[in-house]
Amino acid sequence: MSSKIKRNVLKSMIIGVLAYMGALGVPQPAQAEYADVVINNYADAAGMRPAVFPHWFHRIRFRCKVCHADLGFAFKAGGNKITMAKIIDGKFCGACHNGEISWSVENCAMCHSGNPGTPTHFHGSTVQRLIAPAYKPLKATDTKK
Amino acid sequence: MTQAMNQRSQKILPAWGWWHVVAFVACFTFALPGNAADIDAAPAAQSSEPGITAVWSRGLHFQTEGEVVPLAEDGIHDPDNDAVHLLQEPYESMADFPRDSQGIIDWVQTLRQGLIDPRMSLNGDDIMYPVDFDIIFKNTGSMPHVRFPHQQHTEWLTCANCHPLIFIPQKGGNPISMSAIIQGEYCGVCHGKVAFPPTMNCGRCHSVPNQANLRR
Ligand code: HEC
Ligand code: HEC
Ligand code: HEC
Ligand code: HEC
Ligand code: HEC
Ligand code: HEC
Repeated sequence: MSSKIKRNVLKSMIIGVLAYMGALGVPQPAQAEYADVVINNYADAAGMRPAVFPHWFHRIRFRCKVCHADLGFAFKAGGNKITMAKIIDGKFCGACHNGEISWSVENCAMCHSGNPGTPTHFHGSTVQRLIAPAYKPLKATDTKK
Repeated sequence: MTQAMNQRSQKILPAWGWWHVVAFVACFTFALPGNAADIDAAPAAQSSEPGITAVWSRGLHFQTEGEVVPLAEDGIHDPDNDAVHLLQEPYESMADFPRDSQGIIDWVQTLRQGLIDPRMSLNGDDIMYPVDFDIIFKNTGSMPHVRFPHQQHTEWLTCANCHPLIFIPQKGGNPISMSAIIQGEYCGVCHGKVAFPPTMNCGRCHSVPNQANLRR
């Protein structure tokens, strides 16, 4: 390695280590796992915990295509305006969580497992972490289903 | 930003020039309230750090090898919810899944090795229609060119997931750039959210040798 590269590597390592130590000093909760989506357009307001959708768990069982083409989930956290009425009607989560393909809708706490107050977001995504939290809460007028 | 990435990244991996940028952004984000600090900026800090295996130091959308965080402590699940203990722990479930060179789960291999057999329709009575052709993106500066493999994608996704909303199905028809990807457009619609992230593992996309490289 040329000395210039060595210097650069050293420099990045120092920056890296500093950033790392700096970050350890900031109280930082450990965070969720493998592409979890927190969905909280309405839940908090309705006194339920936000719903947490784990991608890793579902992609072991279904191809992306099943949800994102056949069932029509748009590629947007919170963008599908999911409500319990729609779920019970067999749409979105309810296409599977109906007691046939998967356990039924009575198991409220399995889906509504989020920390109260957690906004709708795609957990740990590059966008959310490097750019800006890209999710605005739906406007009150959107709440009318 | 582009400039910084072009200068030095391809020879010395992991791309140090890139990490300068990320480290800077990271330090910047520390100051912003409510924004999880970005520690993947630290190339020197690997998860093998002794004594902190139970701390998920990075807070990414995946955990790299050796990081173990129970759901109840992951920051988004409510530990007071009894059902949290009924949910499957990801690191147990995926313990023997293959990982790529950065320690991220390699779903392509997981699928191909038959460790999982995800259904292709709701009832499992349909099949996928994978197509096998690659698109090579050459506008990569001094980075190796990008191979986009249709095969691996269409084992998971159908054409309509990408065409025409994310990509016009025409070679060269989309103004893709690295910064757009990191902002969640084009490849970044999935990569950095559900699929492996654009900020690590450059070589998984930038996998085709580039003349500009060879000349150095
Ligand atoms: C399969 C997962 C799942 C199950 C099971 C489930 N929910 Fe939901 N629920 C959701 C999702 C997703 C939302 C949308 C959350 C949001 O946008 O705030 C939601 C929203 C809600 C809302 C607010 C919106 C509305 O429709 O009023 C309430 C209240 C609610 N659920 C109550 C319940 C109750 C009570 C149960 C148990 C009988 C239950 N849920 C079971 C997934 C589920
Ligand atoms: C079991 C159903 C299911 C499967 C399988 C699934 N997803 Fe999702 N996906 C969802 C749900 C639900 C959301 C959140 C939608 C919402 O909040 O309204 C989502 C959101 C997304 C988003 C939105 C990210 C953003 O910008 O907010 C992307 C991208 C995505 N999924 C990609 C994938 C990919 C790639 C796969 C396959 C590896 C996949 N999904 C498999 C259900 C699924
Ligand atoms: C394509 C079908 C499908 C859709 C759509 C779907 N699920 Fe599931 N889900 C399943 C299956 C299958 C299981 C596993 C059931 C079992 O283990 O018996 C499951 C399990 C779960 C679990 C439990 C995970 C664990 O650790 O045990 C949660 C939570 C969950 N789903 C939430 C949701 C939410 C929220 C939605 C809607 C946003 C949703 N699911 C949509 C099929 C689906
Ligand atoms: C998900 C795949 C993917 C990953 C991972 C990835 N890139 Fe790229 N990169 C692309 C694509 C696609 C282009 C656009 C090429 C084109 O338009 O011809 C690109 C373009 C570039 C360019 C050209 C200038 C620009 O901004 O468009 C640079 C430099 C670059 N990438 C650097 C990197 C570095 C450094 C990393 C690792 C930190 C990386 N890339 C990781 C897909 C990727
Ligand atoms: C993960 C996203 C994705 C999926 C899924 C996908 N494609 Fe593509 N496709 C691309 C990208 C990216 C390009 C390149 C566009 C460019 O060069 O700007 C492309 C280009 C194409 C082209 C143009 C090739 C050329 O030489 O001009 C065709 C045709 C095409 N795709 C067909 C398909 C078909 C058929 C399917 C389903 C079997 C499919 N694609 C699925 C991302 C995808
Ligand atoms: C609609 C979602 C989606 C889009 C858009 C997308 N990918 Fe992917 N890609 C995936 C998934 C899912 C995988 C499987 C691996 C994983 O989940 O980490 C994957 C895997 C890959 C792989 C790994 C193949 C292997 O053999 O290991 C490469 C390379 C790749 N993508 C490049 C790209 C490039 C370049 C683009 C943009 C031109 C792109 N992808 C756009 C979803 C997507």
